[in-house]
Amino acid sequence: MSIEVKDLTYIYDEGFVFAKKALSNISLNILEGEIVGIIGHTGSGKSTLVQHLNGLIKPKKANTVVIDGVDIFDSKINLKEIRRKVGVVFQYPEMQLFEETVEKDVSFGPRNLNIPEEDVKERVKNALEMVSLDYEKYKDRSPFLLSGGEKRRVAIAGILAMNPKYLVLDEPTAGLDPWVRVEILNELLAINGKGTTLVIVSHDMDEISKIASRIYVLNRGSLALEGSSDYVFSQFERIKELGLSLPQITEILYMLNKKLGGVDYNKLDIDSGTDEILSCIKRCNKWK
Amino acid sequence: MSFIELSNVSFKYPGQDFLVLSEINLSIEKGEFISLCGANSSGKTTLGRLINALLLPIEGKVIVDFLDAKIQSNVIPIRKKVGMIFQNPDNQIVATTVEEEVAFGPENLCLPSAEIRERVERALSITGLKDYRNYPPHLLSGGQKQLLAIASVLAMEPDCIIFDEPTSLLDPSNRRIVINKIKELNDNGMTVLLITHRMEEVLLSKKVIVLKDGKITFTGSPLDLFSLNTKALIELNLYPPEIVQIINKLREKGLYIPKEIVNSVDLVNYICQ
Repeated sequence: MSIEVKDLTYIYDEGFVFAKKALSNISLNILEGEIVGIIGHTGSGKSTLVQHLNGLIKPKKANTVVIDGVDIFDSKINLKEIRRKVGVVFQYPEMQLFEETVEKDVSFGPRNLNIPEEDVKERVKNALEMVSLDYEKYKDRSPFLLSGGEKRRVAIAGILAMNPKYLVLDEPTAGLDPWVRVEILNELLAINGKGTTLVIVSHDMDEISKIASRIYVLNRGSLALEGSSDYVFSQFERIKELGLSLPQITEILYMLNKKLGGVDYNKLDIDSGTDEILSCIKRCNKWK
Repeated sequence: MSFIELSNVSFKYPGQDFLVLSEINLSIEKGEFISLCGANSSGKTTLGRLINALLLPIEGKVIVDFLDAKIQSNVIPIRKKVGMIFQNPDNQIVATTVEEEVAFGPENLCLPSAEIRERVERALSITGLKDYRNYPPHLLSGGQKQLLAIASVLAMEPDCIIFDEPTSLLDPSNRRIVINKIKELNDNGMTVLLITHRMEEVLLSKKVIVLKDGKITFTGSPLDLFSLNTKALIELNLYPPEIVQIINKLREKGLYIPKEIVNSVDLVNYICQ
């Protein structure tokens, strides 16, 4: 089962002065259990794409967005089912917090599913646990008096409580400090470990390199690059051209290779990267 | 006396039983570029808001250009002198076109319309938004929106601008545009207090202040800060930037790297010498 996007094009305000082509001929595939990264600049079409994945924007052609075999173009399908299956965490989801307490806010979704109150509570507990918030400690607190990182977590928990099969997160760590960022990424990895498929939209290459196994790079509404994260990060010239940044260690190795040659720059983590720098220095000293 | 002086400033929010800031002493001279770092909830934003009198200290004094923030009649003059830019420009954009947005502040000062026009023109040209004057703000990119927020503050002709993580929601190219603009403003005499987590931004300032649990735990040059080892940075509750982690790792593995080297280009050149 999977989310399939085939030849998707989307134009905002088609036929008006401000008409803007946001997506052109996008095809991608998200398989069950994966972590897929979607990278691109502001304005590259990332968020427009995301809104297609749960039918918030409907494609204009049949068979362009197919979720677990269901074409969302079909007017007879139950979009509610689709949205239950594909949970979307929007950018700055904390802006959607509205309830008096954390418990009420997170339970808003499941409570609308007509399931027993016991089950709702269980889901809320689990969801909060998944984002490392202690249920007893947080349940009665106002979501508005929490720190930025805590608010973000509560908002993510609100989606998790719907038990989505696919979880799409649009810039899940934007605007958070580096510590919280790392914590939330680790929580996402654990959520994926329990079987939820993740689609993470970001402009932070570094972050994506740490978490995604496959990457799609969007540029001006088109797919500019796609493949395993190792492959995508080996396309340095192309990444630079697209104005995206590489993980710093990779960039250093790449520059060293340009100057000295013979450097293996396909390293994304600091430990193996620094080893490569040292062995490169040793080699050069020998030549001298 | 400095342009901005905080002496023994403490602050807590109503209903909370702990101090968000305690006994802060800080002075900022005209034309300085200071960056302010610290983990979430270390008190950075609160400190910024105390400086432009959005919040008042429960103890101690905040003085801006000889005006004591505690005196009610000084509050508006202080806010005119100290402008503020927030993380999310959408939170401070109110008007329907770029031009009107920039005019909003000066209009509320009841200035003559010729003067308003002049200020709007100047602010638009400094921020490079002249071509967008008739655009509705929501059609601007994130970076342009932040430039618009800056233009609106510039139209108030402040002496100092506090930037509260102005680039944290922007992508790398927009981030560069905004940060270069901030640098340029400072080069032309604007006093800048930049609240940020980003090391490349900290490096633009002459002085960096680190807050931890409401106290100032470090004051010095950015180079002094980043020559601390990874452990010391973590003790300050700062997340060591990747380049600092790389340099420290290389040092741990026995390579000597002088403290002046804090970016990847310099590091590569140093290694290749």
